[in-house]
Amino acid sequence: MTETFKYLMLGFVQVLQPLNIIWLIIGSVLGTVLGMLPGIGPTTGIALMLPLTFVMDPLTALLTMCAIYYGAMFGGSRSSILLNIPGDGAAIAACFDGYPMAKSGKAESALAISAIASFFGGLIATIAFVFLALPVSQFALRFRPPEYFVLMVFALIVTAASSKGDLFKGLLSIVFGLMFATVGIELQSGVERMTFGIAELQSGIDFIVVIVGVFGLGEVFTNLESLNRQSLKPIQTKFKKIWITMEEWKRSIGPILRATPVGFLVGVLPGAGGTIASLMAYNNEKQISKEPDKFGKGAIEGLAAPEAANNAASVGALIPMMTMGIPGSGTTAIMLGALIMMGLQPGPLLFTQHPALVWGVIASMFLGNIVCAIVNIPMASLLVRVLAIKPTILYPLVLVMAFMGVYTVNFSTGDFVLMIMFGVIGYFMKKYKVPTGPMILAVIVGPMMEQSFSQSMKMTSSCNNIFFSSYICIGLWILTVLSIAYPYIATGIKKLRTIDI
Amino acid sequence: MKGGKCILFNGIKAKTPKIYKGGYKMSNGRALRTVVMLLLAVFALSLTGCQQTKTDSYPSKPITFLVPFGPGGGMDTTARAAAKVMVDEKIITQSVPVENRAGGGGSVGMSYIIQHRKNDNYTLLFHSAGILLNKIGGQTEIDYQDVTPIAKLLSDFNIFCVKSDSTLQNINDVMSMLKNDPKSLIVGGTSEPGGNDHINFMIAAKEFGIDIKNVEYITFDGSGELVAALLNGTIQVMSAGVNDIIGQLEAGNFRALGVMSDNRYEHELLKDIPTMKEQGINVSYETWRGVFGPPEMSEESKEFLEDAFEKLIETDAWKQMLVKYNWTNSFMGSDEFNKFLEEQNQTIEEFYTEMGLK
Repeated sequence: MTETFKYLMLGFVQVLQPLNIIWLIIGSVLGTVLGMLPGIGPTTGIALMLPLTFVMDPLTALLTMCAIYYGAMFGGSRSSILLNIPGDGAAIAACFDGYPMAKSGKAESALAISAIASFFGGLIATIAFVFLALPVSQFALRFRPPEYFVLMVFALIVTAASSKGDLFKGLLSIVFGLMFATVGIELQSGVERMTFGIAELQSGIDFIVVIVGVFGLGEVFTNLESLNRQSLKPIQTKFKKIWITMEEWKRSIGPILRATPVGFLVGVLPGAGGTIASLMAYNNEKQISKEPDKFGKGAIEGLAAPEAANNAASVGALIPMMTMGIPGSGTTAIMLGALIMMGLQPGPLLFTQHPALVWGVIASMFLGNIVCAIVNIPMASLLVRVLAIKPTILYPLVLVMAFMGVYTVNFSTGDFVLMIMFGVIGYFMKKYKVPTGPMILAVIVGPMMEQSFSQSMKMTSSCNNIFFSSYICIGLWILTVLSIAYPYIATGIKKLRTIDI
Repeated sequence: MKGGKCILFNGIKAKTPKIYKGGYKMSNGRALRTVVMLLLAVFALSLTGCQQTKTDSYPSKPITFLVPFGPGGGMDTTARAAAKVMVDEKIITQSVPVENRAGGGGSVGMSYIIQHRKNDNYTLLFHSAGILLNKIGGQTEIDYQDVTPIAKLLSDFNIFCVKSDSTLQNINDVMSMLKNDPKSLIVGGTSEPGGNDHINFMIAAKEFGIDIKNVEYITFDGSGELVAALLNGTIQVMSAGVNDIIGQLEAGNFRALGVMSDNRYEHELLKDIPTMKEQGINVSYETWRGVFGPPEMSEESKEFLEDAFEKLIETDAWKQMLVKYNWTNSFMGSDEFNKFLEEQNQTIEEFYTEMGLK
């Protein structure tokens, strides 16, 4: 224990140098800004940083990249709340209740709670990082392809079960998503599927294109329909201070504390990441809530939980990278590449060989989360004024941003066509009240789910119960069944009680 | 389409001050004017960059290194290292931006350069054997013959590993076991069947006389998943490049059984890994990286660049890069490179036919 503190202090000594602090602030601000723009996420930001890492000190480079990473988690929800357009996959869940809050005139509280929840999620997860990094990474290693497959099934089912409206529409939405996820080269066989000979489609449809299309363009299309009928008034013209009331805080603290461990653990699993973490946290919260009907209509709990979870996940994702040299997400994979570029060998010995570097990064995360929170609150008071813009001016701007964001994914104009297509799909889904969340989740986890299925099949010669072969698998199946059955059980218990009385 | 990149460049540049403006509310008229002037300057600069000015000597403008893979990978590092040394050592006096255009196993970047950069002497493509594989595997119609091979730069060599508590002590243990029962072990790599990691292992297995069509091979999406899979027992043997395993070797988690090179690596942690040939399996296979120009390049620029890369590999700075990243110099000039590609194309085609991948 004292050893850990000694190392942590060593880390703080490393970080508290003027140059490192300056870069930490730059990284946090850059991450927040990039995270806000639809389509442009932490991966783009870190990729932009790569050339600089050639000339930087490894610690400075790494802490800047980490700051961009969690900065983007702070920023990603801004456009979800204000415009209903998630900046990144991890910010989808912030749309569900954040946007309704903004619409009903509570944008200030929404922005404030998302920053506060992000701050606590990140901070608690960083403390957990310090003490739990090694055992947790050992746990993550026990996830083999079958466990991953069941985890993905669980995530999809839970999302469908708790989606607005009925289960049927949620499942329909998932099927759409899984269909889009099959486009591209199948990794296990190398066979191309539904690419129509277009080279751009070989690596599949990027989920950013789907998100920006369905949410961004879909939202604009839906609003275009009502533009002529409705008066052209902005949502809100007078703004209060960006803060929350005591009552809102009391309602949020529980969700934050419950969502953080979920986000942290899911983040640690290589490949799962912030999107699944935030959606799972949202669903958990909805299921244990006494008033699940309020979810999706502007419940502050439904915003606080995913926001805490995705920040905790971004911290968790750094654990396998630091302790084992195994990147936990696309973003950390690039960071690992950067480590190699700097001539370091990421691996299990990073902690012992470069303690100053590793503990410096951990220490920087404590400071970085504070910097992000400080940066975000005043920034939000400017951003909230987006709501004062007339729709006739706002929506063209949103379109421009959407196109720009999508272009940066692959630098390909082909993605424009796809995005517009998804915009139309999103429009009709909204019109017929099919929830879009499950589809997006399916697009994100679909490729991985399919891969882990076929990997599992290759692991065993007889196609039998490999999906029940470990405690983790069985545990996840039980959770899946429970999450479907829970609403019925809950109402059943309620009925029983009323009978008793 | 020629100005495509320039427009983007201008777009990004022009955007940044705007965010700044919104974020901090510049009340000062002068500050605003400065921003406008800057914008104009950037715009003007990018315009001049777009025009194909006919000047006397090559290169008269920046040369872009196009990487058809994502940032942070081996190919990206190669291009960035080459760009840095070439500029630092003044081999190229213009600036050398590196651009990533990932997708389709490198074929997106490649079809871009073929379709949109024809006879533009200022965009170079960094590629690997993937340039052959994609056509042989039937995924694209384009291959090395559609671009201008300029130079082969360096090579990596795949290493086969098992977990350190495995009973398999050397590569012959692995191969004998697979010879008895091709399904007794599962091999893993990061490339799909027919890709680099798969070819490396199967060429060696074929040499040993194994029924390679029946050997189970699992593809993982990235080296992280692959390393985890060997550690948790999903796979028993792994075929991967040096950078993916060196950290695990050092920590004592993996045991390396053989390397696909002709000579052993000199690195402290790798020098004890025997080559396949030392262990009686007479194969070697290199994972090369080279530079290609667009179609219909001018003779003058091609000669300049071939010469420039030859100068690059002579510099001490580049030699340091090779040591730092565990790369092996395998330079070939344009003609030699062309011949090499032709030969390798034939080898791989035969291999694909045998594996039933075609």
